[in-house]
Amino acid sequence: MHLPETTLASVLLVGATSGLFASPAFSSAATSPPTQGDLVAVRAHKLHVSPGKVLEDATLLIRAGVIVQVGNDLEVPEGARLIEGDVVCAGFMDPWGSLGMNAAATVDMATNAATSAIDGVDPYLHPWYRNRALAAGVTAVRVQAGMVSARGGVGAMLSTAPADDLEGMILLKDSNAAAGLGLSSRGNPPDVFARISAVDKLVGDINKGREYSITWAKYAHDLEAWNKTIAEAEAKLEKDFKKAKKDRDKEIAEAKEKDKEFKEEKYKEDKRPKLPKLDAEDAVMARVASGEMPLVVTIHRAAEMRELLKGTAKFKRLRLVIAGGTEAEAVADQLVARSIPVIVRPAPLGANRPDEYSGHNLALAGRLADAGVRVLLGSSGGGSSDLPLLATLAIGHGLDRDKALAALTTEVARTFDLSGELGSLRPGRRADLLVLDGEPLLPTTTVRYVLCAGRVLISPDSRD
Amino acid sequence: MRTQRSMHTKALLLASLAFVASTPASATSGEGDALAIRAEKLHVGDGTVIENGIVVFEAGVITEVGKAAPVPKGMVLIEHAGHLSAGLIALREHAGAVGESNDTTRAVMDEADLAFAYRPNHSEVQGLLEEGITTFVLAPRPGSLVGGLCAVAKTGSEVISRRAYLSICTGANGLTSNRFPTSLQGSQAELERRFSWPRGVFARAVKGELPVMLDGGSSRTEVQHAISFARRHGLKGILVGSTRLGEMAAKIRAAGLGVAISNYTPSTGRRVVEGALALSEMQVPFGFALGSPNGHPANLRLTAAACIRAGLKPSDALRSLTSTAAQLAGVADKVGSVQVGLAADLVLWSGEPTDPGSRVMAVYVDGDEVFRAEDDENGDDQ
Repeated sequence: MHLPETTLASVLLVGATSGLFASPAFSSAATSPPTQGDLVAVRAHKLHVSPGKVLEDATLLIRAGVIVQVGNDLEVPEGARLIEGDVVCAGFMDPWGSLGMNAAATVDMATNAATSAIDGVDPYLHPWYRNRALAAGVTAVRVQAGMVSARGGVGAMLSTAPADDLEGMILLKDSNAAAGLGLSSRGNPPDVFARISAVDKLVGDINKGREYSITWAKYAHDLEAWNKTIAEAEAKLEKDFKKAKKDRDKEIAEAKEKDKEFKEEKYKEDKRPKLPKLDAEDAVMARVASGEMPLVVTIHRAAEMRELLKGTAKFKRLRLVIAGGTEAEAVADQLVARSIPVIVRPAPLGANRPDEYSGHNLALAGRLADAGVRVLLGSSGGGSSDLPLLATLAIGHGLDRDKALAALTTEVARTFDLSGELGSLRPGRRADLLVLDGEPLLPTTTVRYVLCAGRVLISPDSRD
Repeated sequence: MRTQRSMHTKALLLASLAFVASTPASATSGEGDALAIRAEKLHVGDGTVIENGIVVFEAGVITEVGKAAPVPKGMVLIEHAGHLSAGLIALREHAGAVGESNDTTRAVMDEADLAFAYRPNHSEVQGLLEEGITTFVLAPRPGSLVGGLCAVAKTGSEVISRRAYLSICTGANGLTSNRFPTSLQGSQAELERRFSWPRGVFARAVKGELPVMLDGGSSRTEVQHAISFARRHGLKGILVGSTRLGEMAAKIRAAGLGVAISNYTPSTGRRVVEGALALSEMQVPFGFALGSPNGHPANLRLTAAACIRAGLKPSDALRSLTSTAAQLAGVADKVGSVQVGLAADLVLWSGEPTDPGSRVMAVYVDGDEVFRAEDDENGDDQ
């Protein structure tokens, strides 16, 4: 394989867990492995490399499921499968979905910080819905258990491509940690005092996570120091062994002569540092506090968001992501200053909407984006296949078209640390892309081809 | 918090400039305001599109339409760099009739007049305007066998027809467990009795003078029953409330009925969309309903867009949202098209009216500007 370094890096990074970037022979996930030397060329009049960056009359080459070249004057290698279309863009990603998750897992209220979304994923579930999502251009979905629970646990990014097993679905098994604040359960919102104390509890949990990592770091440090001390002591003993033995023998003889009891010299030994208590939940929150993975907080009311922002200001490495954010306009300047993205649900919600959505407005995405907030669009588990259609509503209510496209591609990848693998059509990225007969996010545009890791999963012939 | 949008299309900017010039004419209400609007694309409502078409209106009524429509001297001409269409029409909606749109304690309310329940200043009504909906059929919520007389209301304005439909539930939607009838058989018996020896509104319905809005219910059997009920009694009107109507397209056509398509939702969406396509194929006239229990005015265009995504022609979708809906509601002589003599109920869009990605830039009802996109950089901010 002649892959650029970035590709190799991504193979190591993600391929290690998923096997998706590996060669077709290794890729157990492939139901129809790429043929013809696994080379695919995609040619388009307009190629959206990333939102706002468009190449006219460009070609894109895919080898072993990875984009290897993008440019205007590329020759199509012999033996490559050629796909031609008007417009090509990256596959859409739903950063707030439930596709592939066991329904009971998504509504579970007893999840905790250590619950893993992967444990609730069923690769044999929803084949029809998954195909619909693919046909609509959605190639990746972030899922989590306990979508309205106080702690949703560790979320995962999944591919919507058909897979033979769980491993074949996973793009990232630990994309984030999740929490919910002030969310209605069975139609009833928590009372206002419970809501504010829930914010304090979350801040406390992040703090516990930070202390947990400090404790473990200290343990590692102490253990290292202890090991060093012991090693030094042992070396010294080893070195002084002969003399020490001679001295000891002499002392024993003297004691016998004087009819005294011989007392062994006691060595003072440093006590081995004590292993801290293991705690799975604290361990997840430790990763959150250190910024290793983002924390997606589903939260809607301005009062709770203010408390959350205030409480978490001291965690400099924390990477918050807000999901929902119905009243987020009120804290937009803070969201901009701290680069906190908001996953907006652009669905029309009527009079029966939950209490936390009472200020719901389809203009939210546009207004936040105008204020400089990073905006993502998500289905909130309401059906990933409808997300591209719903995204048009956000556009019709003020969101810039390019920003809407970014909200479904680059911003999602960036937020969940997948920029090197997904979201754009640059060399080194996984070939999850759409071939369209018009501009993306128009109702009149038809998705003609959908490629996932270079495999053609939807084509004009495959439609029923 | 709101900042001026940095990314503005040329189209919006042009439109804004025009609005600045038009502020004196458009910001104040009151009949008699005369105005002309030239749009890059003017959708008449019958499927034709006039490039750079001009519409002139005076005293709330359209007086001229065309590419070279004469603009009287001294009249303000607004240049709109976008699309213009007639205001959208929702075939079933409950906005502005809070708590007064049904009475489940009574099975038959044949003389109930929904026009009395209409509150034009209700916030829900404002929500309709923001989505470009200028006319809607105010219908009773399901829950009774006969819910009363549906009105056709102008959004934020007056009722233009008090007897658009007699609302009838032949299916399970008309039943409740604590008053007669509690079963489908019971409801059939009661409705048969009313329509076989008809008096009052029932007599008018049987004579074909008063159309009916038939809520068939969700199952195929219920819909089938509704269609045969209409045929048996010679009723004219529309079928609503079912996602199964597409499967019955041929029967609906044979019965001479129209259809109000239910809202698109992720769970019922596919059936709704396929139904619309089947109806379109069979040339059954259909419009779009709002007023699902969890309705939102944006659903009207979203449903149309979902149908377009599945293959419905955008021009057919727009017809269903405007002129066809007006015909079905019996008000085609007043609204639904951009034609001389009809009310100046107009929507200025940033793009194709049937693309949910197009913004509603301004809405006129009876010639008065009743809505303008609030962050449009025009007279409001300058």
